Amino acid sequence: MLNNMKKNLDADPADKLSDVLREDFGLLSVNSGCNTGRCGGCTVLKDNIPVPACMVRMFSVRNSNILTYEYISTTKEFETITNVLGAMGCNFCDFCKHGKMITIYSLVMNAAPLTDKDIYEALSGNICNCTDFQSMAAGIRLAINAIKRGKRAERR
Amino acid sequence: MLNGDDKKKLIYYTPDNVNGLIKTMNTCKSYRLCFDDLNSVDIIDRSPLKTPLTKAIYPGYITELSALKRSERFFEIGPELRINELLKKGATVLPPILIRALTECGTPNVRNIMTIGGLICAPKIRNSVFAALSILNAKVEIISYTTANLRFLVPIQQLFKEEGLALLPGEMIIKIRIPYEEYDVDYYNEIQDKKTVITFVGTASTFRGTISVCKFAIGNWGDDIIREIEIENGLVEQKLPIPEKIIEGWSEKFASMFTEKYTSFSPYVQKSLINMFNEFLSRL
Amino acid sequence: MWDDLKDRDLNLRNSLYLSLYRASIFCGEIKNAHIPENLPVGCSVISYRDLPQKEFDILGSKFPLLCDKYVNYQGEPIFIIAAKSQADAEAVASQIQVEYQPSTPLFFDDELKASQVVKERSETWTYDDKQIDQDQVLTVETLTCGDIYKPVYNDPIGVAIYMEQDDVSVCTSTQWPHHVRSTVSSILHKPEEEVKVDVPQIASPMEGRLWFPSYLAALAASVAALRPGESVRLILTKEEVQQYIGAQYPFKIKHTSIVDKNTGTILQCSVDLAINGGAYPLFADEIMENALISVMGPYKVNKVIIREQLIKTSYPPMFFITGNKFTQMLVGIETHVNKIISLTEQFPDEWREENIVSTSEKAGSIVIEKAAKNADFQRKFSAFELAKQNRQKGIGPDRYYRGIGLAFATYKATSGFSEKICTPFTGKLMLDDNWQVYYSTATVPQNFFEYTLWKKVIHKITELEESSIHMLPHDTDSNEDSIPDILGEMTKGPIQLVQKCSRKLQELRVSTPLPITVEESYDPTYDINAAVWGAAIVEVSVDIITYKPSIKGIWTCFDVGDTIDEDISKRYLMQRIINSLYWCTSPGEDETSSWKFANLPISISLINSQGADTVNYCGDIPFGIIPSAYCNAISQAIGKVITDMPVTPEKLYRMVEEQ
Repeated sequence: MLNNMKKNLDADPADKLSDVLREDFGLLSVNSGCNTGRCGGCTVLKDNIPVPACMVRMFSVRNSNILTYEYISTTKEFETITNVLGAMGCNFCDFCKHGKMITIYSLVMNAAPLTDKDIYEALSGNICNCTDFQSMAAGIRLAINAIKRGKRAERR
Repeated sequence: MLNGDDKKKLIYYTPDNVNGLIKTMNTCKSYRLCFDDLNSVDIIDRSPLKTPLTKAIYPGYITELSALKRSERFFEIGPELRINELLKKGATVLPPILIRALTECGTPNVRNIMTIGGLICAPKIRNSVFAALSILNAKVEIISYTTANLRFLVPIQQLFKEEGLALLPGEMIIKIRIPYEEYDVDYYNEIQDKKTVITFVGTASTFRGTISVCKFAIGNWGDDIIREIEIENGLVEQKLPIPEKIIEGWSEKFASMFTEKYTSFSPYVQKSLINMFNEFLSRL
Repeated sequence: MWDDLKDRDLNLRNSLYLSLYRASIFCGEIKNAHIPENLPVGCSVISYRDLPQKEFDILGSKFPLLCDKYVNYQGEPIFIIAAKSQADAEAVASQIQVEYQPSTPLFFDDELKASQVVKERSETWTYDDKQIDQDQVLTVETLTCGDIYKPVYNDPIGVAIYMEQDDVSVCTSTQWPHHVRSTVSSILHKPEEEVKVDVPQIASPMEGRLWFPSYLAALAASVAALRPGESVRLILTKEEVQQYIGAQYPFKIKHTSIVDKNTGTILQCSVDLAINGGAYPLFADEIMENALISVMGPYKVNKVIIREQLIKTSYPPMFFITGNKFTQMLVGIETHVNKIISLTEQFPDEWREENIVSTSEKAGSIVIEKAAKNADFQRKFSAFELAKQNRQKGIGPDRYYRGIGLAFATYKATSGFSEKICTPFTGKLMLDDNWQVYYSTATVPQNFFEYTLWKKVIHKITELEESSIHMLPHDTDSNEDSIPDILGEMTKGPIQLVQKCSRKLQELRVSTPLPITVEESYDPTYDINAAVWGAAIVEVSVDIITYKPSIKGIWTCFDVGDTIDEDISKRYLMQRIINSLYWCTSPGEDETSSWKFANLPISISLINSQGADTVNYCGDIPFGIIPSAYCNAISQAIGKVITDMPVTPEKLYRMVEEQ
């Protein structure tokens, strides 16, 4: 499944997921940066877990749901996250924006209480330091609270 | 490590259960066993026929191979369990040095795709985790599908022979078994020497003022691990606290192995390892 | 910010993939080159002789695009391989065989050959020619070496040229899009109006992006000229970026001072400065001129004798990347001053306050005092000195050796290239019918904070909502030529331009119907900037087991004049501090190194002693003071003066063992 839609594809099992997403599906948010899984520019969600797409092979995604930036940017939660991060003064450059937002989205959606250390640990796979860590950490915690409040309001 | 040249040369099999795995292994004489997206090992037919490598097997969809179980005496980890999942599930139960070694093996995103089986079998990455598993007396349970599902346990340091991972065609690692033991002292430290990461791991237990168990290992990224059983055995039954002169003596013996056996370490690495060894002893 | 980036992407399909075949020797002659006969379909191998334009020109300095017969540095490109796919290009590259006649490389060491000295200059500055009483003085000497700065790798660096019938579109991350345009148009023999340069949203930091993208664009355009109608892309690998992108010039600076024994005042100082200019020393005059600014720092000295040399070596071509003022040389003077202070047994902060040049005494004293107060500097300094003395006497084994260091610098942004650059900063501000404001300029800022600042400036002057202010992409079609930010007044020039545009818009809003478009230019060459001051204190602890230094805290104070937004200034400075830490600890080891400083306790104080409306940004000062303070702290910790950067555990081991 790709972005919650079933897709059929004829690809070599040894193909990299990042190449397939970019070339066969035109999902250019998956940036090929370092090709060693370190920079985080190609981060996607595989079964709601952030993974570097340049390191993932097609044989391992058969039963998985892959979510890219193009999908998550259409969700309500994403809008809340961007508003909160924007209010905290976080600006991401286009090289790292997609990867960082995917990681932040997965952190926020897990909604577990996070310390600075947890956030730092989670974001250490997205290495661009175009924005400072403190604003990001504050923004992430605020976003978690905002989404929790939103969910409670919906339930009522 | 998987390469781009694998494209269109290998046929991939992704069995969903153990029976499927058995069936696939029985039909392949030589195959590439892909533990995860990053790490794989070639199992080559050693018969005179020498069947060429045309197939690859990925057992990642088999749920039995991704389990983490805790019995009274052991932790049993499936080889397909992802590192981050292992760290999450085993945060409070796994030995601290293993947790530390697993945390240092990659960024969080990479740990989401790396598996413990792949980490052990990877030629370059295995050593810090391998060193930790070695001193924890970990054993690997291998099942041989070609000989009526025969299961046998292999100590982890014997898993590798000169030619690489000692798995024959039809054999598969199904569990990594770590005995449940509590140690009084856990020691983990590492240094970076250019592009290699060298780790020093140590564990020890004491009983009635003497050392009952003492193990340490040096993990060198890209090379084998170093275990000095002679020094380990010599420290057992040593009375505590260890006098300074005796620590100096053992330190000299430890240092002598760099001049006699392991001569490729730079002076900085040698000195750091000696310091770490001394610190490990002083913690006892 | 701009979503149309999706259509403009470095990884474009159906294009020629370019790869560079690089020399494997440091220097020598190419005897023979064998290119495989059966090339894959659509593949070409381009050599120097095939190039339509042989040399790359940047502000009058030139060097060859490809190597012809003589290799001048390891990694110098010899061939460009153009193929339909990456696999084909790599296959062809592996089959090329080149025979070399190596010659002795030109090193940057103590034994220099006379032929290596490209330019030499001597100067004497005398402020007070008093007689020196030899009994009351001591001579202090330090030699500081700065290594090559390896940039942080965090995005693909390259260029893509799209050929669409008559129009040419270039996509690359550059600080100077108009220079890329002029380079490509001259190689393709097309008028500049038909070449458009698109700058994708910038990453940070923008190291090496001043001339390097133009150089890559020249290589790609050469192939595009030889293969008409085909789009091309050249993306560098991570190793190529770290080894061959324009880096800061390494240097060796030796200070020999005659110092008053009692007061520690520097009476006379001789400075021997050698600058590694690489294989093609560019901008010799400008480098020599600008290097002088930082050699003595802001300290009082009666007489300075300077000898400067620009040395040719077998290193890749270099360029200033964090300003053209050699901020890293501040490390040299700060190390020297630290040695003087330790020999005369004074407090570092007090010595500095007493010895700053009088014209800047007030501002300098304030920043030092504030930083020292925040860090509790004198108490910690005394405590660590005592611990060091105890260690030397053999009292008490310490697991951690601790130290605290202070560094102080001044920085003044002046244009070093005013004669060569004639164009000012240009910008366009548009207010449309929906009360949305769009700002567009070809001056690419160095980082994101500047966009936020520009928005705040526009909001402050026009009083329009910040959410209605948008930044447009930097492309050459929408904007007139503009000098790059880095060659002008750093961030001040672009801010003055934004202020000018906003004031004009505000004037026109009263009388002109919407939509309104305002175009302005700002010429920074005649403007004199006030100086910026900074002081930093770094506390370290060295683990004596592994010799790894770790930073315990950083306290800084900057006088940046009148900031538009203090929060943004602090975050910008925080980013620069982290980049500077990355440089001085162990660069190139791991891309994630810069993240390990994200959690450090870093305190930044800002003061303004220069009055209102004096906006100055000290983007480069952290690069001078943080490494200096770090080295000074480690010097106190291990009891030896650190003169060689970066500071690695292995170096510390050698220094500790030598004692």
